[in-house]
Amino acid sequence: MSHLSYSSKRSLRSMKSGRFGRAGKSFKMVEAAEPDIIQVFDEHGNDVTPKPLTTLRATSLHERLLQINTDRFSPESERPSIYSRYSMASSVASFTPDTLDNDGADREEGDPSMMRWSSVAIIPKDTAHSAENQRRIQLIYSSIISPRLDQDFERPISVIITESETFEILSLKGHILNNTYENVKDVLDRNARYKKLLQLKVGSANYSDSSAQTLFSLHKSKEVQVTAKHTETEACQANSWDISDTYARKQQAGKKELPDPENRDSIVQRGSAIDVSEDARISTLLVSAGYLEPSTSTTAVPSTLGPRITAGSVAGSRRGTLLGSAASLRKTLYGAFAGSRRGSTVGSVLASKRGSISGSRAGSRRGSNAGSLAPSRKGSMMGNISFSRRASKAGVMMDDPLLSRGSLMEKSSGVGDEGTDALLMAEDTACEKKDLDLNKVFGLLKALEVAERALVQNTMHDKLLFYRDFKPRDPEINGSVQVTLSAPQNEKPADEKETVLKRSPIAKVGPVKQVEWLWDFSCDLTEGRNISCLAWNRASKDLLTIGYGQFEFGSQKDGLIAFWSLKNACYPHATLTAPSGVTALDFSTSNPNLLAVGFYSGNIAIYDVRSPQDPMPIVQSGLSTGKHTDPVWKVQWIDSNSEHGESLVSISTDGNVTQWFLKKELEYVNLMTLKRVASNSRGAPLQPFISRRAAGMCFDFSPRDSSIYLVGTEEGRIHKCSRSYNEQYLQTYVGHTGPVFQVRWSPFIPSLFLSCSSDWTVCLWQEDKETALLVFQSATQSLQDLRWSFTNACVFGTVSDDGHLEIWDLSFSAVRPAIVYEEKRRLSCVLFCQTSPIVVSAGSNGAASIFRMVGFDCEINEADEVQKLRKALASNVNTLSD
Amino acid sequence: MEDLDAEEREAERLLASAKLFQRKTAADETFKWIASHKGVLGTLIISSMGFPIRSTMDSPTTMKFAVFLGPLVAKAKQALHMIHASQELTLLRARTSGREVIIVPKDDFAIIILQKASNK
Repeated sequence: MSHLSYSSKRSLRSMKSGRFGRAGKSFKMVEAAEPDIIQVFDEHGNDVTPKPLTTLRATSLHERLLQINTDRFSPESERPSIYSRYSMASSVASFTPDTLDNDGADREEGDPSMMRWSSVAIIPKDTAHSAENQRRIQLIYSSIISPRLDQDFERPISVIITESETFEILSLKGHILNNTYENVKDVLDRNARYKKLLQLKVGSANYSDSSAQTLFSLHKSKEVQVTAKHTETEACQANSWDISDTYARKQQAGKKELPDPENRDSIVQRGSAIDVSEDARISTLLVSAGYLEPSTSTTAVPSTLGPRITAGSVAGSRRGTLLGSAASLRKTLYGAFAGSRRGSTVGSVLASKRGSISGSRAGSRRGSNAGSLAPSRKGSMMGNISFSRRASKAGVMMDDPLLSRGSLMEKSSGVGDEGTDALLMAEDTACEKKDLDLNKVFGLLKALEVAERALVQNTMHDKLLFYRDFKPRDPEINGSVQVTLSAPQNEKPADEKETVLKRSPIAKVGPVKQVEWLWDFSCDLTEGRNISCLAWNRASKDLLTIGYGQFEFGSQKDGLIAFWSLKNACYPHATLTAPSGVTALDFSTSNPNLLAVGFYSGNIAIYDVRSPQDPMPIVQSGLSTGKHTDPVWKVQWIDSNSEHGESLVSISTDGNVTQWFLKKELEYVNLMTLKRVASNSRGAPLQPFISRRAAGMCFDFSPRDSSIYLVGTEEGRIHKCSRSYNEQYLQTYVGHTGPVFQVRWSPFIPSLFLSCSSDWTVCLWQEDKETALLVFQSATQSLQDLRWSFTNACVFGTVSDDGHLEIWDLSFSAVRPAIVYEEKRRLSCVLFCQTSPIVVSAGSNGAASIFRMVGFDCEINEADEVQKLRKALASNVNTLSD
Repeated sequence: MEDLDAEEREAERLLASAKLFQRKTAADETFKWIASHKGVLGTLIISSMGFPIRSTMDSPTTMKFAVFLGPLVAKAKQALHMIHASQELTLLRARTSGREVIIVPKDDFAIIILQKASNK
């Protein structure tokens, strides 16, 4: 609007001047006025008269409107129009009504607005020479006040927005009178009269409507071309830990040491700033890379590279100017690289920022890389990397960059011969920069995992071969065996006559039985956690899943499930955290990705392990669905006969054996409520129980009949139960004097089962006999876990609280274990492997040790194995009903 | 009852996602772990243009690796792309008598690990 008002005022004034003859001429003097040609000369006397952009033909209206000071300017339509245009354009920014009024004064002093906007100060040389038509205007260069690189950008620029002048044309305020006012009657009369007048007015001849129009000056738009200012929006999100991390880092950076002396020397040698902060390194980097003019850099840059954003933007602005001068693509990339590396550490720019960069990437071509570099200057390094990816995709850079890097440096270093030195120094700075956040690089973690696997496989090459039962490269395998061998060949118990004959050939001919430790599955994550359960995946039998959870009530922490793979023994393939300690694990057979987990808190959860990113279980029991009130000691998937497919059975010390159905939610049915059975052995009078509930510790479904299962209780009894009855036991096995921790059916002979308990014994039972067939007593501590071997019918393993891993071989001896392996920690789990001769033992330090069993040969035929077992039993057990 | 359950779950979810976040910032730690693994003589991450981003080796060696292995990776990628157009190169190992170089190339960068031969 000011524009408009200007011209209208001008027109007024010009008309005024014309009318009153201020300049002594009438406004029709266009022809009469002396043509006043302006010529502009610079300091060297060259004619630098600006040529008009357009020429306008004179129209009368135009001249009238656009006359300014007619005594000074030529009446030709061009000049005043141009000049006025200039002045109009220039005055837009700084126009105030005051300047409007003293327009004469403006002209004489030289328009201050003109001064600001150009380097030309047009000062009329001599006002006295108005008679002269030619006006020499001397150009005086005023110094370009280029913004100081930093301060100007930093300095807050105040933009004052004011309203344009308001003209009140008519202001009639209404009054509100109170009824008690004394003149109210007059006011009312007046109002009534006015109303009547309004009514009369409508058709009356005294009043006629007419409108007026203000004249608009003619506008012509002129186009000017300017390089577009690149804008970018940046969003930032800071989480509370990001903020605290950044502050912590800042504090650390403040206390950090100065860089290496040799770096400092090299910086000094180059003659750049002595400032030894990291900023100086940046500046020298940029200088040597040719992005900053050395003159400005040495003075301006080091002292002003305070905030990191500025550094990035410095590079950016300079680059902007240099790009116009055809800097090479690689050059700019390097600069972007250097600059953005600093910029990337500011705050925490989210990965979502890539969206904006890729957006620009999509739209731009190689030629327009200049513009799109700007986002990378402030963005994270990955922005830069995505840019470089684009460049490489263009196919040009693929083979070049490294080979021509030498030339790159030579070309670009404005300082001359720094070349590879600069690059080296740059690399130094690059490598030493600790604040480059690797975590921002997309895909780096995955690549590092792959690299880690390759590395670990290299280190563990022989062991992995051994695991897989391949012959290792090095024939010497007994080098580092640390195992206490129970020497079979030395002692011959007198009562085993038949086995003596069997044993000696083994001792002499066959290999020595031993376990060799291969490696430990452990990492810092699992350090200190007690392992409570181990499970192989049903589909890929080499994936070991370990559940971590404390057994003691007092030391409960959150639980962890780690999925370990052979590919990397040093870090789990995936982990899941759980709110409470994990005490039981089982993989489903029909859907090998479903993992059932039992917790110390009594909950059950089913996880889908295909997506370990999602840490939530697909279904979980809770207070609403019902849960155990005590830790769940075992979960097992069973093939149920019903239409629901597989269902889950769990047991807990609250005495319930429950079956869970996986429908929309977990639904459960109590298969059995364990009740105490009075001991009828001694004939003592029945003592009343405080609680009739028994506590269940373990269960196992019979391989022969899937509706029959055994339950081991805390009192030491083992009950055979059926799914059809939930009150009665089918049979009770009495023998243990302590809680039965594990009960396992033999996979080879369906009527045999083993049980281990905290009374230091393992008992072998026959299904229909109430008392144990064999009792294995060699441990001196409570036995925590028991497993049959999958491949050898006579072999089973136990682990005990004092760190003993015992492998028993019934065909060898029923009195003493074939192998006893001692460890320092408490062992809580043992697991055999189906595919390799491997046994895993796990304990309280969070490490699962993998042992290779050496010397345990298994028969090819399963029937032969069964035969072996029967033979062993026959020799060891006095009475054998089967 | 249900409220308690829902709250429990919400809390668990938050806790789990917090842990997940921690896991995701493990690139740095993994890098450090690799660099300090037994037998590893040096580790290096270079950008796709061949500039080293992170290195545990001294500068001249880093330079040598970056300058010479970068093109090798590019050539290998190209070669495999010609042969199997659909498959990407994920791992490249070069073994000498005493050393092994493991290279994991990705689009934007490559990880290079120098390991002493492990059968010594």
